[in-house]
Amino acid sequence: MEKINFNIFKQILAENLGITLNEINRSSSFRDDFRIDSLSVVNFLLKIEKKFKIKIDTENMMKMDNINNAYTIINKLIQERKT
Amino acid sequence: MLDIYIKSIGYYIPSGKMSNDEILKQVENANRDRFNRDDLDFLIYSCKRKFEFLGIKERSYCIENDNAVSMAEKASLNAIERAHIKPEEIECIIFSGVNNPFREPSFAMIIANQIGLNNGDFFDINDTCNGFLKSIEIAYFYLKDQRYKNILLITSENPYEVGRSFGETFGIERLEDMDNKFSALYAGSAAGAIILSNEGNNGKITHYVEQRQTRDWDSSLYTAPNTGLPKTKYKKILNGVWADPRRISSLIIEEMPVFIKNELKKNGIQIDNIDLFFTHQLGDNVTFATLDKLNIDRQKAPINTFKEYGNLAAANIPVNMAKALEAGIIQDGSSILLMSSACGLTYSIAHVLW
Repeated sequence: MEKINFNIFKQILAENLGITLNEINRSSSFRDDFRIDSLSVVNFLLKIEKKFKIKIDTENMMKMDNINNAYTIINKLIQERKT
Repeated sequence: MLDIYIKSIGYYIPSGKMSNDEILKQVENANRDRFNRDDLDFLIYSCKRKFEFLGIKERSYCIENDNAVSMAEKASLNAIERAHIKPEEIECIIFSGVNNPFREPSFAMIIANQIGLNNGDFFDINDTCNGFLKSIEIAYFYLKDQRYKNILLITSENPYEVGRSFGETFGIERLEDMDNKFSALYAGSAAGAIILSNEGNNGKITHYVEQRQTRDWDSSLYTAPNTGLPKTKYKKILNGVWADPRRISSLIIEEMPVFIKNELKKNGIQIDNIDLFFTHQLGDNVTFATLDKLNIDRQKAPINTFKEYGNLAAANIPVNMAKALEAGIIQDGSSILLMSSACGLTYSIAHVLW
């Protein structure tokens, strides 16, 4: 499966986490820039799992403290996903 | 400066342990007729994954003959014994707790009767999860006025006993509603008690400060069935336990560290000199985010009952302190900060010199 374009990923983030689209950049920290706690990120990632039919293990979830890490790991899992 | 003393701390945790699977069975049963199998499976799966992330495996609850009253009685007698006083030396009892099952009479009256007291000043307060720390401030006014010599502060949290308000929590209308109910799935049961006095050698409470704002009163609610609410910023609020966890967490992470820094500075307390931190435990995600923003070494919050017993609401802090004393973690000279956040919203801290 093809990976997600970053602009599409930003839209998904904005819709699900209530973040303003133009405030999102790759280096943004969920907690420090958007005050989104880690459990709320997990909530979001579970929806991503369902949407893209991937499995994000807890170890990977814990690494996703910023947008870039989340985008990179999710895309890696999407590309690895067996179709 | 408050300058009142903790004579003793007592607690009681019931022996019942409800596993993640057991509570999710209740969630499944409550929603079996509302969702198809795929959606139900996703609901249970996502709850399990969040439990795994938080590290919670069980939550304490009352079994056999235990209930909110028995827990309160046991914690109170534990504190009285540790203070080396007799029950009749207690002149005032203040009960605080989120899950107070009594509208009438006050829970404090019942506790007084249970421990053998007929006369005295016994009453309840409701300051949600901040109740226990708030009761310290109230006790201070009585002690400084020299109205009383020994005051018992007691909290007893048994969410599973409070009936329909809590029970309605597990039924939802849409899958995403579980985000608003999830915090109820890791509520635990316990009781904590402290005896305060004007005199003592250890446990001097030097300060209590709080900050409240009402604009987010509707971000976390626990109501009786069919409670009428004023206009809120939310399109829909479900009965029973309901919260906007994202909003609550983001407010705590943003505002609480600022409040703590400002108040410590105002009161001449150096944060680096504080040895131990005891926090109200909503979950590690919020607790550690707050500590990290304050640049506090997580090792300074050594007691974490959340994973083993769940969120004990107003009992979090006294239970954690009691366990720290038992483990020898609190020592003579320890500088301790108690930190609480509560729906409403309220932030508070109390400083203790042991």
